[in-house]
Amino acid sequence: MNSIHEVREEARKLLEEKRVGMVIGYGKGKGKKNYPIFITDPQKVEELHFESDCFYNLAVYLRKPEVCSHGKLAIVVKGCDARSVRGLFSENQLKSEEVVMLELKCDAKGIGRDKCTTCRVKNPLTPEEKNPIDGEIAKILAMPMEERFRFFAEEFKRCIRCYACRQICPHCFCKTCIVEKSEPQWISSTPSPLGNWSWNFTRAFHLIGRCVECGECARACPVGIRLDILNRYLAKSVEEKYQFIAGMDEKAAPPLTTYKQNDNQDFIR
Amino acid sequence: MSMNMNMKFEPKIMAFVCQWCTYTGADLAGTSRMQYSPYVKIIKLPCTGRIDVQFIVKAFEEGADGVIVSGCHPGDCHYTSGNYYARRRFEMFHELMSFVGVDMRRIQFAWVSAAEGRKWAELVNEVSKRVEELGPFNVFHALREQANELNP
Amino acid sequence: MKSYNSSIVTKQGLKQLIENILAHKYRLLAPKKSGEQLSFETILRAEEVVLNQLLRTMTTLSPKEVFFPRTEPVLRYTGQEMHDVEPPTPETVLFGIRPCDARGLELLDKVFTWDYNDKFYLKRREATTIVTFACSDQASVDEHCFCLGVGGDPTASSGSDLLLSTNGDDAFLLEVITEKGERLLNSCKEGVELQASDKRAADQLEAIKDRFVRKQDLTEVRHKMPEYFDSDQLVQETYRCLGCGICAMSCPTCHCFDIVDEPKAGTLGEGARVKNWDACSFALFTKHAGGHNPRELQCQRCRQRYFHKLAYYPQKFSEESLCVGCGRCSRSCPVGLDIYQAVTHVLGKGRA
Repeated sequence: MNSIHEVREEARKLLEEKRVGMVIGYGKGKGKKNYPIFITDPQKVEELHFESDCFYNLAVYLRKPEVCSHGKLAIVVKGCDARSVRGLFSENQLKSEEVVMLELKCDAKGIGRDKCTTCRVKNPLTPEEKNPIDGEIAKILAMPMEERFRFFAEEFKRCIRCYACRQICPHCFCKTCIVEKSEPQWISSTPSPLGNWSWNFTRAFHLIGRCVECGECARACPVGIRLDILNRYLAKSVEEKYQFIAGMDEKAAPPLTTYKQNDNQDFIR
Repeated sequence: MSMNMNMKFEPKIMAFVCQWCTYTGADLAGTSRMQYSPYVKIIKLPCTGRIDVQFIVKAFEEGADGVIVSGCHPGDCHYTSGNYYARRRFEMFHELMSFVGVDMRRIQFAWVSAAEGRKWAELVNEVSKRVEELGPFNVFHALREQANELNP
Repeated sequence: MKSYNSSIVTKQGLKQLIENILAHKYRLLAPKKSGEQLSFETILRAEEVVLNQLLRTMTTLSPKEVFFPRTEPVLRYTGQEMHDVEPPTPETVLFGIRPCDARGLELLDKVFTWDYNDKFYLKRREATTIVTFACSDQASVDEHCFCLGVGGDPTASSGSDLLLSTNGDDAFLLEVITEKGERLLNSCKEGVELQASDKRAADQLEAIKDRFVRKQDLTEVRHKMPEYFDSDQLVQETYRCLGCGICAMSCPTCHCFDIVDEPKAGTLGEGARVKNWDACSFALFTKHAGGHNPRELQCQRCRQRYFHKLAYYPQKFSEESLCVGCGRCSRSCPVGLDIYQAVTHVLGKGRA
């Protein structure tokens, strides 16, 4: 779809014909602000908007129990969000017949976030070939090992464990997060330098092959930890090593749930 | 980790091994009376596929200076494919660890079969020597010390 | 009656005052830029205090952390033996907090003393002298601020020991509010030129009021809130809450904590029992051991926070609400939730 008018029309039809129970989209606040809205009444589809600052990745709401209770759902998606939804399909978190995607082209300019400079899915269905060059990653790779370690340790030290990164991520879908497990406790829940390192490291690891580089984690982080750099780097590695791009093909098996007999093992003695 | 100049640094090395191949291989090294570095502490698990990377993170949290992960050669897994899954997981673990600045000379993955007692002994010696040369994992231990001094 | 104990101090004089504070070996905490963030940090050199910055931008996290850290041990154990922990309490000057933050501390005082005197909080309070900056700069107040609506005042002195406000381009007005403030000033005023004045920060109040976009009064909502406990409208307003804890952790008055035993890494049987920030927006906050969760949905958790701020606290402690209107929760909320907007909207007083 090319315009919000088409989206509204489609949403109205879906709701009227009771093909979906709820439409998740962007609403307009005062001034330029947008926020997620949830529409169940076909009369209210005019409240759907799409303009600058629609940075939210709405796919995160697809797993909220109060949203799921509405049955089939329709969701307004930009390119990055569409990847999330397909990623959830490929990991069997959602069934494709349960979700209608209302795809919108996004020029990423209005959104204007860091995440948009490396975006390759401005048009949800025709991804660009290569990841644009990522200066942030190059900067890290140019650092000697100890400097890298200090850089990330300093970033992680600021973490206050509000878990906004996890809560805003559509791919952090575990019912019980590893940091909430206490028997045994793998990761300390105390916001201390050690526990923070393990928490942020582990979250990045758990998103390998899942992260669609929507950048919401870094946007949400109240203390400005650059989680996006970590996740983008891993997404890039997964692509280079396994030719896998998360959320592009809902039929493709996520890279860590499969293997090839001739996978690289240069690093193994 | 303060060290007396005269005291030799004794690295703490954790080894996570599969019970079918590497653990038996290590056993063979023992029964064959092969001498190898005493710095390694072995934990036996059913399969490399069972080795969560969290184990490795925890080992460093608890003060390890180096880690060995070892299991059956590809094609020899007792459970057919556990080591294949593990191989991918460890490759990405390797990527992430080095991206966040952990010197990967501290972590060694290996395939050691039940017949390769000698390879096990060599592996342990090699890793021990390397970690000994690298010295204690101070950047990581510093996090631990800061965490133990929780008071601001 | 004593006249206002206020004086005019130049920018240079204020810098000298800060230098003297450091020279007297006080621990000085002030907003400092680290990365993109403004946060309260230990200041080692006077020039690290950038006045323009702290007047214009509010810190992301509130100064409650100075008294109620995100984590602190309450006891240590070695095997079967337990040892009390005394909080470290260096003589501290907390510089450059806002009047809303200072008021927040007064509200917290009630929580930390009503049934039990929390020594960790109280000892730090005692050892700290608070130098507040009134929101007198053109840019001090932004579209999220609503202290006026919850009984606050951008020039108020309550909770402060010394109160600074702007006085023209190059000078400040310094008011002594408490004896503690006076002691600090007396011990640190050598070389600081103080010119007595009869002005007060409050003189600027009317002009500052105009800068507020959010002017609705929420002080009476505590009487109305209970009617809205089951309101669908409140559910609608908070439906998008994702359940992170940013609001509670950045709040100057949210004070819930979790108690955890932290074994000392690399040892056996040694560790500390620590007190960590917790948030009612977390699903685990009310989850019972048996698996039942009385606040099963996120909007119920969100409601809890709004009710605690605006209804429960005023019922229990005073007529005041626990919200000081600093606006931090709405500035940082990743999905744009906003207590002021939600409450004013739901209670039908019109949308801000």
